[in-house]
Amino acid sequence: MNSRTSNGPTPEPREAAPTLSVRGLTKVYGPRATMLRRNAHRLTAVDAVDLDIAPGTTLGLVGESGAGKSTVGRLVLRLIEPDAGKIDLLGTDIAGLSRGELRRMRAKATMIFQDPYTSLDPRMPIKDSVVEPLLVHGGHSRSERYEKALAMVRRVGLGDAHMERFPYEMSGGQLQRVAIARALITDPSFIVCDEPVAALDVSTQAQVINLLNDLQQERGISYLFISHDLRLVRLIADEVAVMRHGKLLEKGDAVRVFEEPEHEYTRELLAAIPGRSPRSRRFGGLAGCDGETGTADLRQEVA
Amino acid sequence: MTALIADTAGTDDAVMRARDLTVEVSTEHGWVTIVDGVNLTVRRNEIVGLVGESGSGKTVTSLSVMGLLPRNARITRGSVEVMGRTISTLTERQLTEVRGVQAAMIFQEPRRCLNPAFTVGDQVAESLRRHRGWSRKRALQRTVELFELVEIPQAARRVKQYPHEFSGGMCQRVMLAMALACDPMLLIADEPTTALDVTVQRQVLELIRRLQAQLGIGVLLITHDLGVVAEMCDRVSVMYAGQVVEEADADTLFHEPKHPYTSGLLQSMLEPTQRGRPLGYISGLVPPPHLFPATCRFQERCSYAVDSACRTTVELHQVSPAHSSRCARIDDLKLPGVTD
Amino acid sequence: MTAHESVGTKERRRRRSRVLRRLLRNRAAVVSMAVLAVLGLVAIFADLLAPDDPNKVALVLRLTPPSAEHWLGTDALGRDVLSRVLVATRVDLLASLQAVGIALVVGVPLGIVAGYWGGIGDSLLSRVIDALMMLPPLILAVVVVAILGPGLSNAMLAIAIVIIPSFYRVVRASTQTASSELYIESARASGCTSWRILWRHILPAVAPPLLVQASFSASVVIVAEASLSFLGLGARAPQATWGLMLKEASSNLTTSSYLIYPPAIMVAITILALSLLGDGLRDALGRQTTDGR
Repeated sequence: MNSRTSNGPTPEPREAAPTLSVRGLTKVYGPRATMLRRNAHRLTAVDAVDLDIAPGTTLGLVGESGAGKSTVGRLVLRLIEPDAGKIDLLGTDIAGLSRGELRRMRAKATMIFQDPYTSLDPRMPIKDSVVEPLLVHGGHSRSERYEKALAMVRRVGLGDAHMERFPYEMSGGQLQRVAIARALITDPSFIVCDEPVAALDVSTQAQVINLLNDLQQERGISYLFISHDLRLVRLIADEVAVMRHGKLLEKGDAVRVFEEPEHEYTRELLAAIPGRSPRSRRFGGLAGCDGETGTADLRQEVA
Repeated sequence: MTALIADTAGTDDAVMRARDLTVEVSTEHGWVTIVDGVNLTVRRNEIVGLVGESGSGKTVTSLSVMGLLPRNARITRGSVEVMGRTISTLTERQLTEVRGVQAAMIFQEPRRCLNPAFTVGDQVAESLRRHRGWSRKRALQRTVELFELVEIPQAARRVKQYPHEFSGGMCQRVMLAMALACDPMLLIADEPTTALDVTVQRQVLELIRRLQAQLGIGVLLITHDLGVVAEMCDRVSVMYAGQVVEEADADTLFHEPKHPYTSGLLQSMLEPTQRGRPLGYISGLVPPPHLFPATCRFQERCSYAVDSACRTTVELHQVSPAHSSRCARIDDLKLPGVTD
Repeated sequence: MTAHESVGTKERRRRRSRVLRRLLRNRAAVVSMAVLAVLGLVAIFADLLAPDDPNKVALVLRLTPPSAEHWLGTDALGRDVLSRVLVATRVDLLASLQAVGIALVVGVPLGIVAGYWGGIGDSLLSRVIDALMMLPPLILAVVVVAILGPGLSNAMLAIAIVIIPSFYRVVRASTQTASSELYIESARASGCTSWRILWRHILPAVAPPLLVQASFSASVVIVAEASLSFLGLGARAPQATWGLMLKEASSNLTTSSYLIYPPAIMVAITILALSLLGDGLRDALGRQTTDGR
């Protein structure tokens, strides 16, 4: 992975226009306060978030459940409407786009979802699912579409036979590859990956991560990689942003954030990563012998 | 098949022992073996990890220990003993006693295991009233102590609250309190932290570890996360396609694996301090139970497989007294483990 | 059509045949399908099968009990009951198709629109439908017939209005369920138009419960036709429908009780077959959705 070091540990100040630039992004859920409802309970899911993603790089967005990271992923593509903030995606302020323009933009900026079992239409053969984005964006004949879909399905490591299958006939890892093929078929420059491997088995997680990494090398795609698992983010991200309760707590170069976290919460998250071997246990005071002396007494008291 | 691992510890120490456990389920392909000849022992004062991907049979194994197999499943060979009592010979009433008093289980989604209509205190106390015949008042008093044991702050106030007032991590603590209410010697934890946030996962795992040491109980920890195993377990059994393919003490298993599947899992383990490097992985899929081959079951996905040796049924071979592996090439393979 | 396309349709056919296989395993469903097929054939070939002109009046032969010449006897005007009951099969089946058809054409689009977009349109529409459901169905039908005048077509329109809410509700609910699925969001993220999402993703998801509902509704329509005609609000003499035959038989019930059985048995068999088929469809399609998971 030598080529990777080019966008490596200390990124150059980037000259190129960013793929994504977000300022003051805010989303509030719940009813607005009115004359009749002064103290309406409102939840600020995303609170004045600023993000930048340079072309061909990955921003890892980290946080625990309810932090608002998935909401950010959907907001930057305007799959849900923001309440405030400016989103520049691929050089366009997407707030001003009409529905048709927004739809066309989705050829260049799209999303991969967490659960491949439900993100593909169970009634469509894989072939149709992969072809669909090409079909809706037009400009190809039927056989061209099929050829492109086949090439893409092969690229993500599946065989020709998979084209005719239905989702229920395939495993999670295979389905997530299908979802990736579907996202890539319009040759996008930006993909939001929302917990793309959280629903997969450990041995397949690695394959999907490797595939995403390789595709980035090949095509210079930018990713917004959303995950609760810092170990995953560490493997794929050039920069990391940490969210909690809708707010961005810390962001910066991935190495910097992992090696010298600034925010207390980031340190807490890092400390919660389990070790890799029984010899390097990281969880506190777990020598396993401190309890032994008191055991008998405690059992007696219990009984 | 007999247990190839000699029982080094005294028999009295074992809180749970599965011998040649074989479970079949009824599917559209007829009765299919999903757990095949599993030997597994949990002793007092230890945490045993049961590791495997989905479809490996680890959950079915744990359910048979608790006598909780669904109606379409049956034990066809072997036996499970909990505290010396053979589960399959017990009446439903005796089973209830084993489940509540001698062995307890916690699950992946604690909130689903709690009834939203009753206070958490009542639900924990219920078990004490049923198994111990205690009065409501006495049971509730004990519940407060249990809540303190599992480190729920303001225990006296919290027992009167309902499940919806608890976070996921707190719900798992309540489940732990309920599990430990009647002082079981065996705790089975089935993916207890998979649904929790990482920081909460750490707290709950630390709590389980501490309680295990404090109470001297045996814990069977079922997980797919090798990081959790590394942090928690004293011994580990790795399951693949219904069989135990390797078992050893945790340190040996992580550093000197003797089965290619274990080694592959370790290579695909997410490395918290490395970036950009492609991960190792195991290609292919776990076959569905009706297609489990008669040969080495991992053969098709194994990069070390050779025709001659691997095309036969492979037994668990002993590497050392406490380490065995179901690999035909156990003697000539040098497999990579984790590097520190 | 290119080669790969035909492979795709073959796959789809295989999948469809799986549903069929499940349906065929259900004995009650198989029997009811056979019964409905026979009824269909009877409806198509009623003219050929009928031994006599169903409307030929022969007062000399009035109220003759079943005999070799008239297998099911003759009615108060001396018309052959067998011929009438056969011809009535066609009238009844067509009428119920008509009512279910109207209800589908109105209820499905409304339900999809309300379920997919929600909002004010959904609230308004759902209130109207709720109000419609509040009214007793028979009263509603009577009002419609009173406005439009009696006659089988108007009666069927009235019944269609009565059953629209059930279609609307089924479609709205399953559209809502489908809309919240991740694959709908994925379709939006890929730039699909709303039209395409509705047509290619939502409608196929809505179709199975709709089919079940249609089957049950058809049996409701048969009963409703009989009731309305019996009350003189449906088909009018001399047309032969099961409802009208029941009405005519009831006026001679004391003297010629044999007249009541043919139409009554036909109604009973038809609604039983339709309900059992609905049950079978629900089971066959239901299991499919679970292993689609």
